[in-house]
Amino acid sequence: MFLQDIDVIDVDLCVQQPEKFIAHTRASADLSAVTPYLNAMFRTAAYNHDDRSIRFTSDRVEYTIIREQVNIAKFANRTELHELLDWFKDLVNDIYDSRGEMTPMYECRKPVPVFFIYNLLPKTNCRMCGEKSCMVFAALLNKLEADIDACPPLSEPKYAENRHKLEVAFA
Amino acid sequence: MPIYLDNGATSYPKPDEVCGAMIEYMTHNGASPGRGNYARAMDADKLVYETRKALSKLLGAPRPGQIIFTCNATESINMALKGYLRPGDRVLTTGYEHNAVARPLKKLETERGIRVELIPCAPDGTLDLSAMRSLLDGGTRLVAAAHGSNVIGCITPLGEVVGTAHERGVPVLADAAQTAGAYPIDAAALQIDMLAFTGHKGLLGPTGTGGLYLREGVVLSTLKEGGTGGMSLSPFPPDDPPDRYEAGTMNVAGIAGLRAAVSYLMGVGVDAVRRHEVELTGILLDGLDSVPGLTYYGPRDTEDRLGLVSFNIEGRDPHKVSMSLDRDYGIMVRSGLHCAPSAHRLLGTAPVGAVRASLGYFSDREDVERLVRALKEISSRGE
Repeated sequence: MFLQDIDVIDVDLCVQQPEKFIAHTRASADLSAVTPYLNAMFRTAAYNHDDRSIRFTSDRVEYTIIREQVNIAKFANRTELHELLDWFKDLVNDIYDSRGEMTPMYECRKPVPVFFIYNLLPKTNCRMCGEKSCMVFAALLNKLEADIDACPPLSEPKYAENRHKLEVAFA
Repeated sequence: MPIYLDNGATSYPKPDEVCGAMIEYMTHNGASPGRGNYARAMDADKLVYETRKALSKLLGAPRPGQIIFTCNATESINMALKGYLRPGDRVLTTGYEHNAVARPLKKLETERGIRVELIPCAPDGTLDLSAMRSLLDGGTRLVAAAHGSNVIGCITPLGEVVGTAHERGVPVLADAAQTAGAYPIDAAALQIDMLAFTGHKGLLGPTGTGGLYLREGVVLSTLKEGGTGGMSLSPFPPDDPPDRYEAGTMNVAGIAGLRAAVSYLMGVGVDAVRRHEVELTGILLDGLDSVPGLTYYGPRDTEDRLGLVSFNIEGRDPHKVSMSLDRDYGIMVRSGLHCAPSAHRLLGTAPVGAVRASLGYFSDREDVERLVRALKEISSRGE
């Protein structure tokens, strides 16, 4: 097995979201071998090829990886942290085992600008996405922490062209 | 060599690994999980998580975080009933519940005005599911049922009970005190909403351990509030399980033992434990059939019952029979009402009760044969 274990070094309150936690952990293997594949897999990824570090978001949890160091942010409690570590370990090992059939990605994606996104949203502040305003939703889309499907009005025929532009931008 | 046949109360002996794991934690770790950032506290965190993970695999919980630790099944049931039921709610339950279910329901009847109704059932514990269906009216908010009776030995068909309850959108709380570890359970496949279990019976763990499985989306009002190790500025408990329900430092030594016990059990396989107990129960029932004046209760088919058998000898006080088994033969069984008076009412054995011999994974044919020989002697001699 490529990645045997991940040790938790410390757990602290998350600065961005004080009701959540951040953990610093250390993997038993250098994860540089899999970060280009994680970059290809997660469209939320911010990848730096110089040190092969990566940051990506999955289910609103943020992962930052630099070699053996893995930081996980925005989880609810230590039980969830260990569930996430199990998930991440399985993911890394699956990628490592099947990397022959996968295509790595060595470039960093450019984020879609917030105002570009905002201008394509309905701008009704209907809150159906669960956020306070279309601007907040646009900012979350920019950080790839939300999905355009969370905006029901975008599925209406009159917004079909805007939706298509957003889909192309995020493709 | 004394014979222990009171596994329905608590299993004995425990696998050596259980004591070893508890001593290991007490000697070399001793830290509080969820409360420190030093390495040993992190190790304690991981120990608790690995126990949740093992239990989630054993009981069919989709995620480890759905297992909440308690100190026994009674606490789990109290947490579920008092955290879920509101004033005026109606609850369906069985006529063979342990006081762990019956007493909290009685308290809620008195204090919250809930209504409790029994699902009709035969003396061998067979539930009338069509009657249950007709009882599930709009006001019913929960079905609470033992998975297995600690007196009759009958096994509740949980799949059918859950299916019937869910037809009307009513969730089910299953009390698996007698079945967890001794009978296969897949909480997710059975779509059970809440499952209470204890660590010290079929799971072969230490006393003072137990848990409650909550299906995703089931949220309870908390039974206790206090420190959870994080989010200390908030005056309220956290929203997310399991921390929401686990205020106070947990029984980590017990959990370490429980982890070793579950690991042992998974190595053996719950199916293998069940086959062993079914085989021994068959030998026991055949033997009891040959004891003059003895009546045993519950289903005759060993596939339909747990490895525990309650019985009486005509004209004999069950308490004296159990005392004689202990003093004259070195056989430990339990007599009386077994904290389940309603089950004895169903059998017609209240208020005196019965003698109960309960088998475990470490029981063997010799134990059963010695019990039967002893009962024949007791039966043949005068009071």
